[in-house]
Amino acid sequence: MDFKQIQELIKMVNKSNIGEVTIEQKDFKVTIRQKEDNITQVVAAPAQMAAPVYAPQPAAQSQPVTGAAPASEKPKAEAPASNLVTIKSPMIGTFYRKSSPDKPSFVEPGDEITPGKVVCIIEAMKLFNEIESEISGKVVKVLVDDASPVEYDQPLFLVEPA
Amino acid sequence: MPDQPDDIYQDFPFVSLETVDSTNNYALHLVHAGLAQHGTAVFTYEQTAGKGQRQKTWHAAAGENILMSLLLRPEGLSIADQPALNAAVALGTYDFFSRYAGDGTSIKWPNDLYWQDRKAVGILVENIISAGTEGGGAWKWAVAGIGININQTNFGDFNRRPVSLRQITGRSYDLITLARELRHCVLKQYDALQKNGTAAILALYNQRLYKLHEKVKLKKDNRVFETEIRGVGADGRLTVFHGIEETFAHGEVEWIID
Repeated sequence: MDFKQIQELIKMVNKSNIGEVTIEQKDFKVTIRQKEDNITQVVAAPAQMAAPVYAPQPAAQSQPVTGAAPASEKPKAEAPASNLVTIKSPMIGTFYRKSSPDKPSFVEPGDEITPGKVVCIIEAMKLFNEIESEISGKVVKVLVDDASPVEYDQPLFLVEPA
Repeated sequence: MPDQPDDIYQDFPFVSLETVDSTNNYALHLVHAGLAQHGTAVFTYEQTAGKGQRQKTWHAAAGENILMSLLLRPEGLSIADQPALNAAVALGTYDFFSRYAGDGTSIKWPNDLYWQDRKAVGILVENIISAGTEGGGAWKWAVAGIGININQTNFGDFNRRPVSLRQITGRSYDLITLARELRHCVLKQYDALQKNGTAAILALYNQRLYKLHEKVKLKKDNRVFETEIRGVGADGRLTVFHGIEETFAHGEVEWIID
């Protein structure tokens, strides 16, 4: 696995809701773990003591500093985590990120939202509820998978208020 | 022919369109554009992308049916009252349809209308809720989309036979006249909800339920079972009885109609 592949992997994990990914190849093993606050951490360790010369370890460790934009930006943006607010579910139901399966999501991480912007649909008892944001800011993270059940008050979106 | 009611809602906006993707979408756009007024009707002769439930569509032959959305402002109602507003819309539609079609009309949980064992009306309610960061939310608008089979007599190859008013009565109708009458009936039940409260509306809704106190077949996961319809609660869940009482949310069970 080369540096570029690791970079791709970090990007993929960052965008997804995957908590942790471990990839083992021969005497090389890399684990990418997403912390709750979405800071991507790279832990690389040779699987066998006998392969210290194998290069991926330093390359992987340097990743958070020199790596792709999302990886290096996020820790900075999220350092004052107390600034972030969550948009919570006003009801029990099923959470949908799109108006229909073939449409784009209402919002993606990085999108700016303003009051009145529809961020998702929650369906309950065949009633479809367009959920609008009350606040302005930037969506940092979508906290619920498309088409999954949500509870009353469950955090749906992490937002950096404007 | 029933008497035409004095339409106390006749001055509310009535938008009539030749064709539109979906009257619900049009009504939702009015809300987002800040142009929504309570009681506004959006009527069309033809929908190019009629909405049914998620991943389903509503098909109606152009120029033969009522396709209408009503904008309702749920003042004084909380999100927990959504099943009651749904009941008011279904009841108003029932009042309208049964005037012409008579006793065979009933409300199939949660909000279709049946005539005998055939579907005559589909209702799709979409709400707009503003969600805060402190939890809870403000229910700002309800858009009640109502599709009623009126003059259509050929439904092609539907495996569940729908029915139209014309098939029931043998007459054909002027759509705009009927659509205005429908709006009158729904707004009247909405006003009754405001005046008499949610419990009164839900009690009436329960009296009109399709197959109330009768045995029906429901399918849950892959199991079909027979059970008796007991009613619908304030939370919108269906209560059934088969030795034990159970309640189901919409979507948890499929209703098998032979």
